[in-house]
Amino acid sequence: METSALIFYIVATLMLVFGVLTVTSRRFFRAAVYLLAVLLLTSGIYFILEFNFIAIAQIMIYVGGIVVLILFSILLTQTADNKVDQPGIWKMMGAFLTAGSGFILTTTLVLNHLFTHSTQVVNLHIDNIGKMLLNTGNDGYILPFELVTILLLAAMIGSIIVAFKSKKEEQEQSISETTEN
Amino acid sequence: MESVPVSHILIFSSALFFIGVYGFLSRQHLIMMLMSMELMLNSVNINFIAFNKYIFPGALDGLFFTLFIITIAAAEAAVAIAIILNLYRNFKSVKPEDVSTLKY
Repeated sequence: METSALIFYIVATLMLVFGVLTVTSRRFFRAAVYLLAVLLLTSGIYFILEFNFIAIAQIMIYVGGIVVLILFSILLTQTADNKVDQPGIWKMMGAFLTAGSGFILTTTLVLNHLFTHSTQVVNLHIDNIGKMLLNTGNDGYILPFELVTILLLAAMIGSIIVAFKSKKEEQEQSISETTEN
Repeated sequence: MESVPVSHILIFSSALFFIGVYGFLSRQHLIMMLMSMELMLNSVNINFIAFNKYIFPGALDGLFFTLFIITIAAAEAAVAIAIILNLYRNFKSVKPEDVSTLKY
């Protein structure tokens, strides 16, 4: 077996283990750290598949952004030793049945389909990616690129507005604090 | 990397996806559900990259889809966390079943 294939199987096994730990851990912080491990190992898979640009983007956005946001929200809403309730047995069984049957369905479909590997080599040079991202021609991606920038801007402004404390709320809070004192 | 068939990568990523589905359905906490969502989006990205690498190497469609999914996941996480903070301020809880003011 080739070394990179061996590394792929090891990374994939580790990812599945950490994924299971993410969805079963009862402590918030541990679940977030397991998620961090899964996301880092995903970027490892991209490195093995030689998609270096996506691997770096994954580390910068997922690991540096999303996990930090999740940790912030845990720190702002939970105390350190807070545990999640164990799900009820029926809920757990239902979720397990749904996930298991879905997995069996996709696995049989994938195994019965004959994939033909192409012998072409994918051109992953960063010049090529940049040109295609800003190209208005046939193989260009300028329209989704512009749409996603507008979406990101709208999401950022929207989340700031939603999370903002209004003046009225702040006054009410300070009044209740002074009356308590 | 030629010795790993594409079907193994697909089975692995679908296993990761359904781990996320299991977490999303069984967890009773919004932050935990958000983490399961991230797992699912991540496994879809692996699928796109595998298809681009092995089946359609002529174009870079999978790479750009992955890039846009990563961006949208970031936007989604920011909005979800703003909503979670707002819920916590108004209800002092982030469990989905505690937020039932509009429920008939």
